[in-house]
Amino acid sequence: MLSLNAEEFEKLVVDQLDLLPDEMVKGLENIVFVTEDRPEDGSLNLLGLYVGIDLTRRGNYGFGELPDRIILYREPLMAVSADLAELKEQVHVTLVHEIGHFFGLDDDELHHLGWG
Amino acid sequence: MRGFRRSRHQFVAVFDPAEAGTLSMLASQLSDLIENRESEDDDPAMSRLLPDAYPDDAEASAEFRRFTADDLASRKSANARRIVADLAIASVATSATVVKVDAQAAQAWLRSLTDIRLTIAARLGIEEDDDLGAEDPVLHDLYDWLGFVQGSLVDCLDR
Amino acid sequence: MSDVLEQTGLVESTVLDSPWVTVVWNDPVNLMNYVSWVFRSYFGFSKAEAELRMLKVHHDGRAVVATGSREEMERHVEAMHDFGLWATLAKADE
Repeated sequence: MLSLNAEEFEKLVVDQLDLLPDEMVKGLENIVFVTEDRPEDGSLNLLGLYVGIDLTRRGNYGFGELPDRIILYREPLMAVSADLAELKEQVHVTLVHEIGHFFGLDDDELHHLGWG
Repeated sequence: MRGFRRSRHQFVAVFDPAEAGTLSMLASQLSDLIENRESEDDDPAMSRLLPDAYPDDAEASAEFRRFTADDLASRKSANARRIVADLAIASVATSATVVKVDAQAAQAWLRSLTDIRLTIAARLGIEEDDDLGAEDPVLHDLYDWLGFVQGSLVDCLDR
Repeated sequence: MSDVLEQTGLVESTVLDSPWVTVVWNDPVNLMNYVSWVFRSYFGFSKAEAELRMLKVHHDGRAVVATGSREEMERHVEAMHDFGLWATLAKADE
């Protein structure tokens, strides 16, 4: 059973981030990458999330002090990975997906750029 | 960024990756917002994007909305997607990039930049001319910057 | 005059397309140069006329930008919403 603790998982994510091409990471200076055990609802369905300016969200505006964040969820990602190699791949895919999401790119555009 | 300038039949601006990425993200969110709207929506942003045509006649307004809202919404969404497409390369570049917008795309940009600003204003609660809105320096900066981007494009078209 | 017309039941038939107007309302978001440009490019106003109407929207809170049939006014309102302006239509005498 694949089982990494929070610290090991964070290191894995940092390693995957370092492997990303420069072109993908430039323009993300204001984003913080964080890891958490599970999303708010406690489910295992969500692998990653971008949190920041979100015009689709109504409600309390006025906390612009928080930097934008991309969160990777440890337990859901482990749940979809049979082994370490697959976990690294899933983390990579999720990072690319969330970064692409931040840029507003859809699946076709991501594919066109060779990102996934 | 350097604001838009006219170059023959195109409009040219320079965006650095963070600017292009942010504008692209906002346009994408706008498109999502519009496409996921509900028919009985009380979202102040949607109310401003698709306002009532007859303020004193709910029935006439509903009728007008029935006939026009879907087309209007899909045009707005397409305009937003145009911005995303035009900024795709600049968003992921390693340094500031020239972005060229042709005459037709400029029409989409102008409309969508307005829609994005309207949405931000709705989120900040800006309703009257002197409203300051919620305290959100990031969003306020974006709102002002988008005003600059749009203003520079309008100036080009004014010549 | 309207009383007479109503009594004779001629209102509908003689005043088929009683004049309607398109009204553009002020809003805190739209840039003045953008509104002027919309008036020029869509309605074909001269630069001076577009500027006047835009300033009227800005200072008075609203301005009439077109008159005509109800259908025409509805098209104009839709076009204004397309540009992100806030417009409504009403009977000319309202």
